[in-house]
Amino acid sequence: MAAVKETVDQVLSIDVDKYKYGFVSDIESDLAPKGLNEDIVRFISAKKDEPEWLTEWRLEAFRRWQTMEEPTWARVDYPPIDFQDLHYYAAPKKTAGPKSLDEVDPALLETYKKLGIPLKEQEILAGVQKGERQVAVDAVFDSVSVVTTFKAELAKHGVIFCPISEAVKTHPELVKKYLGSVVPVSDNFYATLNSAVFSDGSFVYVPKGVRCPMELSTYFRINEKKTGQFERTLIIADEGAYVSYLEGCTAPSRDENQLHAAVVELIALDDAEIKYSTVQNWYPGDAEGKGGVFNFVTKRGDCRGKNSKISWTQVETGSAITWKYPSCILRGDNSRGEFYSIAISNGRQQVDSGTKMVHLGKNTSSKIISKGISAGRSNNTYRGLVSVGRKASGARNFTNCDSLLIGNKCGAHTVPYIESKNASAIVEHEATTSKISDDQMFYCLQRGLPQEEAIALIVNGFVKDVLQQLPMEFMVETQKLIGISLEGSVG
Amino acid sequence: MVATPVRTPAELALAARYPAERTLLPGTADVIAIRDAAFGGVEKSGLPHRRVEDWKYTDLRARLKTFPPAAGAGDVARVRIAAPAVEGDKARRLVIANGRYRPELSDLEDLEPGLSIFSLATALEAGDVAAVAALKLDDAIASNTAVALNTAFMTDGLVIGVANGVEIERPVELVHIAEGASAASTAVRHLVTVGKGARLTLIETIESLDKVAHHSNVMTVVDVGDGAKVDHIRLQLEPDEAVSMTSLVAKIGREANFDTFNAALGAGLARAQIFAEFAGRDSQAGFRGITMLGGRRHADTTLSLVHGAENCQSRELYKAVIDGEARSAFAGRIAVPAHAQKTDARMMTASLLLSEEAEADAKPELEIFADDVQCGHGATCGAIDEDLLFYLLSRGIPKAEAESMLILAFLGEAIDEIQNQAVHDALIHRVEGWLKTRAA
Repeated sequence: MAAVKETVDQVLSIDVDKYKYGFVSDIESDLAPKGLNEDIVRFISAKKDEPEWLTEWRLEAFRRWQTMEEPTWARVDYPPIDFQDLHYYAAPKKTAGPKSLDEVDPALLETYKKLGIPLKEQEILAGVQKGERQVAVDAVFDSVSVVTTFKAELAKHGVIFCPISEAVKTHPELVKKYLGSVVPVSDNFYATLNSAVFSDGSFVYVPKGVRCPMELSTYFRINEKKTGQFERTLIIADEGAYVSYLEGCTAPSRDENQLHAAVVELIALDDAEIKYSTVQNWYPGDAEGKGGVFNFVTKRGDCRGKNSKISWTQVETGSAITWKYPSCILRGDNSRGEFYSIAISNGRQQVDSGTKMVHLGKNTSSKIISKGISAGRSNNTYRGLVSVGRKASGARNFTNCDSLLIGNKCGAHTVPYIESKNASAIVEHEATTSKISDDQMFYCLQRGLPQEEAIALIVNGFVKDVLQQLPMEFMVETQKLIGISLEGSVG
Repeated sequence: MVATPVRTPAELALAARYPAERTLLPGTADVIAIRDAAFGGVEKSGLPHRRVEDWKYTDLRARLKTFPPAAGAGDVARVRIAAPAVEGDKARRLVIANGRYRPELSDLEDLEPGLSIFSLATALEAGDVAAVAALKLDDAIASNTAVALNTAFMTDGLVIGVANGVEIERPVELVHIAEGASAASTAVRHLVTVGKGARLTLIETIESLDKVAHHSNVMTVVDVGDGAKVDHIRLQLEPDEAVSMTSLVAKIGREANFDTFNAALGAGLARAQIFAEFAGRDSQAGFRGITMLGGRRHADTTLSLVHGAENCQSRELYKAVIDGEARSAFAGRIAVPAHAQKTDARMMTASLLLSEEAEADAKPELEIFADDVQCGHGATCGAIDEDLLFYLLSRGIPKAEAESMLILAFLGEAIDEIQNQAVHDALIHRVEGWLKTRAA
């Protein structure tokens, strides 16, 4: 079945040509010299005024990185990256760190205004948006975190939300304990590179039994030319804690490719829950594939405690190349992992994304819902692993990945890996819509809904609770996309 | 940084064998050149390991402990009296013993007009142009390790032709038998050409008379002509000690019909590969198989299907039952190029794990470039359904028997697709035998 017109229009409306975050902000920057060597690593570490152990940690990662090879297994094709032709550190001048928003460079605030991100607390507290949910924002501009809002409010509940560079100084014991414990230094080429040169990112710690009172959010922006952005996010939910975190990203339209290699580590202890949502909208390059961000990201959550839960939601619309597999290690008994993804590619974008659910504990469960839509000359690949270990008795997985092609110059691919070592585990992978409960379907049909609409309704209801964590505009957009993406679905 | 690989004993054995045997193997200089190229590739990269994507779940480097010498002529008398694997199928049996076609043991009486059967070794020795040309394969297939080893070491096989419009009622059965008390290896290649509008049922059985670690490598290249109908069934029945590799290469013409079924019932290490391509539009194909594993056995089914033409339909169904410490792997890839609109493909793989130590791996992959297609894939993995079992137990059926019934029903979905009744029954019989042994 070919895609219906409404679907086609919907996807074309988010065409790469219409990238609206492509402006460049004229802000004076502090740049590290181009290239990468031990001195640069030391330079970054010194800039951040880091303790000795972290400098050593970085250097060890750098030495390891030099012995590694770039991975080539993903279904993406790009010219070789010259890792020596990049700036590994760029920061807006005035790095002393603003005490309040008034001290922040007005040009920078202007940038965030353009991005539609209100950083000024008072506006949110007193202004037009009264009654809206409160969102604490950490804004990362090129390599440094420029402002974090609502810190005081969060501190009352004992929640730590600050740039990781600050956490290294204020909470070294936590950083030391958890940094690299989910994504080891030597995990993969890009994660190792990140470990060596990571500049900033967010750090979140939610103490025992605390339900984080508001959404936490980070906006990442690459501004400077020829820079790589390497942020590192570390989120720890202590026993019984809950936190929802949203990440958004944009970059200016530039002809050359920009490199983004982030590492995100999530740790959920007993009974804790972390929701991590991403709206990835890096510059995808122009319609001919010139420019755009190379997005090589390692994201992994560790359900370390029993009854813990980690849920990833991603809406991927940007980047020239996406190489991203948010994963869950289900270590604790009864822990749960979820992955909801909507990946839309257009122009000459190449997406290779998916997830890994590694079941290690007893009665662990995971759910994967992935929708890929490709248009133009893009390629969209779902690549996922569900693995059930020997001891993961009673593990349960359900995977559903649908893809939709618009036009015959694009490609949609599915590469699922299923590895089960436990007989009592039930693993299901399917790519058709027939597994929707017959009862629900019958109920809708019986009330006169056409089949397509009924499916859309059911699926939307299915993922709704996660989509609701996204900002309003994205939620609406995403909801529409889910509704339509079922039409003409192929595996 | 590429480290110089340390050669494993199997790789060393291969490296020693090939230079000594290459000129003794059948074929003219052209054939030797093809063999050299194939072996050169294997020698350069070594045996594939788990980091080689196509062999991710079957690490040959680790699993192939040795590579035994080429099989000798064997005791023909023992082969002559061996009981047939399939009774009552009235098939024309063609015997390949220890890698050599044995016309004297084969049934060549009353050859139907339009059916031709020759030895590949004879054809290659005579420099038969068509046979030599048929040895050349697409790079992606030729470079596959099992295929390359077959090309390098093949000793014989059959060249079977069915003329245009000829319908051969009587199935042709290729009986592969290994005979000998010490481990030996064989490599056999068959070239089957079925003309336009022709029909053929091709059965293959692969077995060994002795419980020793024979290595067999059987490759069958089938050319299905426009409007032709070919039914291919393979029973792989070797003892647990054996290593068995099979490759099927199928090119399917326009408005043609092709079915293949693989029953992986034997060998300690088994790999069944299928490389199929729709070369003409409006065709249909079915790819099915069952795997039954126990002990420490390992079986791998790897399917690569190129839906290269418009409006073709394919169904893939692979079922595995895994007991003991065995491991089953399925990797299926369906590729749909941009021009292959109206493609309809459905791939399903299901694994039933019967013990705590069993393992099932699946990788059902889709690669789609056309927008007006229906492609689906499913994969499941789990134990016997408790509800179903309870239902049977509540009706007074003993547990072992109830389990056997459910396993048979599980495999039956695939087996029932076999059109040849005699083979179907023979297979059911073997499954029942396996289940009885298991229940005991």
